[in-house]
Amino acid sequence: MRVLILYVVSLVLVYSATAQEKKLTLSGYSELRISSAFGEPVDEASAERFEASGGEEERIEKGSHIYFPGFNLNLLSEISPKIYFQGELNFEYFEGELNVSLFRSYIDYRANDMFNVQVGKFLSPIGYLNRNQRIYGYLNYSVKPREMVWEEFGYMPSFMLGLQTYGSFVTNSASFNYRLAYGQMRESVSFGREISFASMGKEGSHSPGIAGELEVNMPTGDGEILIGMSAYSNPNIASVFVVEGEETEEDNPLNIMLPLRETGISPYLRFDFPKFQFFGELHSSKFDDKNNITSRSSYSYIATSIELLYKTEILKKGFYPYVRYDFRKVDDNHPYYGLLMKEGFLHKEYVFNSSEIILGSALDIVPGNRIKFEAGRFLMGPNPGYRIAVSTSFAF
Amino acid sequence: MLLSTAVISARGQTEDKVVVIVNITNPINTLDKSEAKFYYLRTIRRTWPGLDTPIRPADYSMANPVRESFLKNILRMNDSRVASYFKQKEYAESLPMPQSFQSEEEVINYVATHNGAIGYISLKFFNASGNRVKSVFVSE
Repeated sequence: MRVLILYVVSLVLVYSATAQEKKLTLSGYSELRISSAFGEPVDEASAERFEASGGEEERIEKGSHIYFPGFNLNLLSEISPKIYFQGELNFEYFEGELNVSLFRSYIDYRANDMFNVQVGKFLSPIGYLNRNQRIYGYLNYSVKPREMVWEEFGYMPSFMLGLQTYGSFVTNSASFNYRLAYGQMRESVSFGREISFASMGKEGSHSPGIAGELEVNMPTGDGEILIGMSAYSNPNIASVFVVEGEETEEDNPLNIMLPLRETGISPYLRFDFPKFQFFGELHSSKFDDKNNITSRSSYSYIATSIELLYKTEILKKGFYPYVRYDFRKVDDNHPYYGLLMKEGFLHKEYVFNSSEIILGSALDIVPGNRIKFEAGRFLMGPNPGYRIAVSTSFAF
Repeated sequence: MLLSTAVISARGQTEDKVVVIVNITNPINTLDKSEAKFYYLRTIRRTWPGLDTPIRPADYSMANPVRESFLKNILRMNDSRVASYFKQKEYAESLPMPQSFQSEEEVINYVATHNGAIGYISLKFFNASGNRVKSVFVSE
């Protein structure tokens, strides 16, 4: 909390130092979502196993929900033409309490187009989705949050606390962009917010890792083609071994420590043209059990999200029908995923495979507001067979 | 460029033409339509080549015929799409939103006084404004 107060004070100072020069932007975004799932579970055995492991019903979207994830407040300040500050806070109302957490915060030194440095907490340069979209809200066309980049599930390290260099080399026909980051990947850097254990690793532990990305951006007439490849390595994760469905106190001296090594890649592809947009991203990772404590020496994970969007207008308002496909496959008894921290206890729930095909549309009522509707059909996993959702999202 | 401007003026077709303008110190003299779009949107570059200054797009806070023509013919994006594009840039790449102005006079003043600025005005207004800014693209 003390860190957060200091952070808010620093925001006020930055604001007062730069507001009069009109080089400061305060913005935000949020979303209200209503969803309903119906039908029998696609995979009955998977549903029973999930329930037996103590998994939460919300996780498999059973029944109807009104979901307000809170809102994010973003501050971007141009301290000088070469130095920028970006800070983003997340305000979330959960079980009667308002939680405030630091989403990201960094100083950005821009030497030139080819070399720039960021220091602080930033989104990991792993894939396009993690850096460019948020799990919910106005920056997405579709409604359903993509679990593959949702920090609370921790399928990949969403944030890093450290240093990142980035830049572009521009030719006549393309720009070649790079990002290279070093820092804490799955350590507790949440500044007080109780998030899932899996997303950040054992609290207080140190797990420096490296992540990098190469991207080619090719403008072609009215559109652009983006092709990228990310890779990361997180060699020293301090985790705890917990049997599925069981739990243990976080600081129990009898806990079996589980050293892990994580490596992963994420290629992606994006075609963006005036009439359509295609996007596809793949995440693939491997966790090595360094001391052979579990039954296998390594565990793999693969997930993808593909979306094809048509851009048109209704009554001069932007209208975007889309089809999206999500897929996730995890090796059975993965030692890291599904490990959740709740009130000082570590609980291990079943991590299931899932795939879903989604049809939907988004309508821009006014700039900054987007209404979305979608219907999903699950093809595997414990979820009920069908799902519908509607949301309104805004940004200012 | 001035010759073509004069010819277009003589035909009386200046009303719908849009001129993309930059600061007079900018070493770039001409852009094609695609380049004008991608510089304005900061799609491939954040700074001007040879100037080492951030690209600073200027926009209008209210709808007007110049903006409508610029969005339709050069950016090929509607109003809401432009808004979400720049919002994305702000969140993902820490690039400030365009400065917004109410009139062409304000846009030309901003571009004339900021090295990295890029804006757009009507050809008619450009012809009447003297040599305070540089024209790098005129829409067909």
